[in-house]
Amino acid sequence: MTNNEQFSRNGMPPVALSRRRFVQGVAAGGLLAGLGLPTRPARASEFGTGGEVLKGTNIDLSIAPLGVNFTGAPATAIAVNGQVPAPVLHLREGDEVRLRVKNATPDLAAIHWHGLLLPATQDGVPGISFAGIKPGETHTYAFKLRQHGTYWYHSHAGFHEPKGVYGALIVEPREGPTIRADRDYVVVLSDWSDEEPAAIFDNLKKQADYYNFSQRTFFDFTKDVAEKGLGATLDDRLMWGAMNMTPTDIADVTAYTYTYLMNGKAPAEGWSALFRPGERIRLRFINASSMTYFDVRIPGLKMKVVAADGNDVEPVSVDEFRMGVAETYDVIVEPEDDRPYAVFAQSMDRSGYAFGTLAPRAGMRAKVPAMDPRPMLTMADMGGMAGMSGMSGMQDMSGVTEASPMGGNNAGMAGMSHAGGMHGMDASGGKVMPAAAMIEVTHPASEDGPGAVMQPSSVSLTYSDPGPGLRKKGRRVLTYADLRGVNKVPVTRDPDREIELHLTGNMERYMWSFNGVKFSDADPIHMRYGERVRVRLVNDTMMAHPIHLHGMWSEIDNGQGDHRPLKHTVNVNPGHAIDYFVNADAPGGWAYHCHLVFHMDAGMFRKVSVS
Amino acid sequence: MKNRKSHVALAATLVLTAFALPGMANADAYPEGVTDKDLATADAPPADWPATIHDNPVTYALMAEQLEIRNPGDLNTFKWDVQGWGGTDLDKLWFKTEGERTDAKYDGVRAELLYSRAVADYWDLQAGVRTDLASNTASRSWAAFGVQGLAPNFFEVQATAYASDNAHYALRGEVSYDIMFTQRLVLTPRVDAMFYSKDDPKRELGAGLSSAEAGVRLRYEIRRELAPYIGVNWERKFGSTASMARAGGGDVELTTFVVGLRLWF
Repeated sequence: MTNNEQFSRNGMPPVALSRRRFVQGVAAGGLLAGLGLPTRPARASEFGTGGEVLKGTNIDLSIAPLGVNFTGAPATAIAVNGQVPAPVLHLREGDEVRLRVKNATPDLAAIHWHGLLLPATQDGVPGISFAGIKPGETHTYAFKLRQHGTYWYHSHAGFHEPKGVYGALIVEPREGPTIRADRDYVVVLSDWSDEEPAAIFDNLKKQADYYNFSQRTFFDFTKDVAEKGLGATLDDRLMWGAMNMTPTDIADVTAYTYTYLMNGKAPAEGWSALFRPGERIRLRFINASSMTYFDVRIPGLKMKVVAADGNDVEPVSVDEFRMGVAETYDVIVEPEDDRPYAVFAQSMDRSGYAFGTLAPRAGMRAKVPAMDPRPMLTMADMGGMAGMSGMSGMQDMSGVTEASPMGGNNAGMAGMSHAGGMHGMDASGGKVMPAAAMIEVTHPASEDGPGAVMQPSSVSLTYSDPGPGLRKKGRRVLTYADLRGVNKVPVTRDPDREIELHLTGNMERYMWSFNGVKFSDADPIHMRYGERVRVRLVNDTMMAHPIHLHGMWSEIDNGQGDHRPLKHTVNVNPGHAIDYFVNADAPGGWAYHCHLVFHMDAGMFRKVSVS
Repeated sequence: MKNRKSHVALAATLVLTAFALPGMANADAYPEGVTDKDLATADAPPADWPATIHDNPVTYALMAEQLEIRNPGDLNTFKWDVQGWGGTDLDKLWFKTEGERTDAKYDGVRAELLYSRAVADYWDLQAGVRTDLASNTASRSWAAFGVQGLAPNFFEVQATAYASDNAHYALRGEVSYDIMFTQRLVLTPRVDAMFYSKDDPKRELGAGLSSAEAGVRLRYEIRRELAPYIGVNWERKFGSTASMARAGGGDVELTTFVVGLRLWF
């Protein structure tokens, strides 16, 4: 069944079905154990999560440890009001809300309202916006809701978030719905591990490929030799080897330890929601994972993307979309057939998936689709490589120059050489993406240390590349180029200045930073209150990073003119740069970081001061 | 933000802001609801606020690359090669020990305590002390200075130079490589060699290349941290070291089957 397949791809022994059959989000679905499909209380079914929905302007939340069983083995989560995911908060635009958060854990706690525009003191980041919530204390957040849409909330203290402190936050438009739908469901995607997050972090620090069970083997080598010839295969291995990097490095943490959840349900049980054929169903997807990018599909249905990160966008009809960690997308689907449809969210590295069913009748379960092939990184994902940092005196640099195999125009790419760089080549050797805008980049001197391995001489500044594993024919995949805000952006003037930040890392040492400098060694980024800044993020790593600026929108300069999309979390693909505008219209201190929790905790983080 | 140019830019921004931001009379007029407290969070958070993240954690590791029995038929030689470290991403205290025990006698026992500093993407510089201990020979202490890291194409490399009293110098190098047959079945060839600057008869060591070892070990990673292995190991003494061994009736060349456990935590 599903989980056998999920794990056998990892080389993991299949997990006994008898055990998996009882897999369930005890936190969210404990009451429903053994009943098959849930018969929920009317109140809880409002967003179809099976959990609590809290409404009004005075809301009480309590963070406490909770026994759960997502994997067949008992474990302890950190829950909000006794459930994982946390209750759906259903609030109304324009309301002044008071949220009282009690910390019933032995550690510091904090709730951050992800994507909400609010005063800096209410943003919930210990050390930046407030002192955190000490054990036993109750903290009251108070702010006015200045926007509407699909958002979420999560802990910003210690490792509470990966342990379960995350939930949907839905803000109803004050003037009535902007998007018409017959049913409105929340779909929270997340990754659960029975291992302590601190232990996962520790493993990665000691052996960065600890969780990667999809590495290239000797037999992949012989297979490639048979297919491409010895010369081409050796060239390929030497290109990667020269940098001590591997094209299989898609996800730091995989289904080896993670069970992917949809609204708190492991795939063996699966989340489900009802529809009647012909209805318009709104699905509010929230990627509340700690480390996992998901590629979301509903085979047999077009998904009309109508909102991104809470903001309405002109509808785009797609077959698939990728969710960086912390992004949200609202889609409309209109199933016509009287049959169950699979809601399928594969992890980007294809080590596993979260699964649910849209069912015309209770008790139906869709067939789990086959997972797509695992993506492999290509030289395109590396940008134009000029060299590596910090090697002086340690290593022969002659093999790592512009003219080397890293340059991109080398026969080593097995006959796929192109003028103008390798951008857009899929591993499968198939498709060439639209002409990419390669930009030359220079690097700050602070990148010369051991914390930043790659310093590409050029990267791709394009918004139409769906990213590794999605550059294939046959499916329409959402890209940032498709996102066009329904509303005009609030400020249209040219930026006052530009800030360029490089996303940097050393996978081998598991170090992550901006500009080669981690949070604790860096000064805050200062923005003058009222200024409009163009931010350019340059990805100097082989991984995608979801970068989240608190308190202010990231207005992506994707060619949509004054209808640029406003996002709170911006994915930057490897080998790419991205430009966005920030209106420094929110005074105070704000967190700015990679939303992959272990990258954030390794120091890929800055404070932004607006004053 | 410290140069004059940026101040000019800021001033320009202020002027621009006054005209361009709708609904904002001047740059100091913060939106409704903004308090002094919000502004305080920008520049000077209270001293009693906690750290936002702990991005310089101290990590500890103990790595037993070899815990093995050589010539399992005789069950008489136990060989270890263990390293441990503790520290941050850049600064670590590093401990290494290697040696063997045959019939209750220890041989070739080396222990090193080093400060290790990350100086390049994949390289650490290491400096510290080494002590040699053996049951039947005099011990010797050394100052140690070397590099450890990952050479291109994933070769694990250690190279250390040593200096002791009376102008005794030594060099040790080790290279190993992992070949993955499956995600858990890994073949590791490894070579190491030791050089000495002059004869040290008490310790049966001669000047020049004194000894070298080459081995292949096939391990199965039950978990990443726990991998039993089997392998073949070849070791040989060279030059005057070999002559001294011959004179003492010892082996000059030895090929053994090995069975062992690789583990770390």
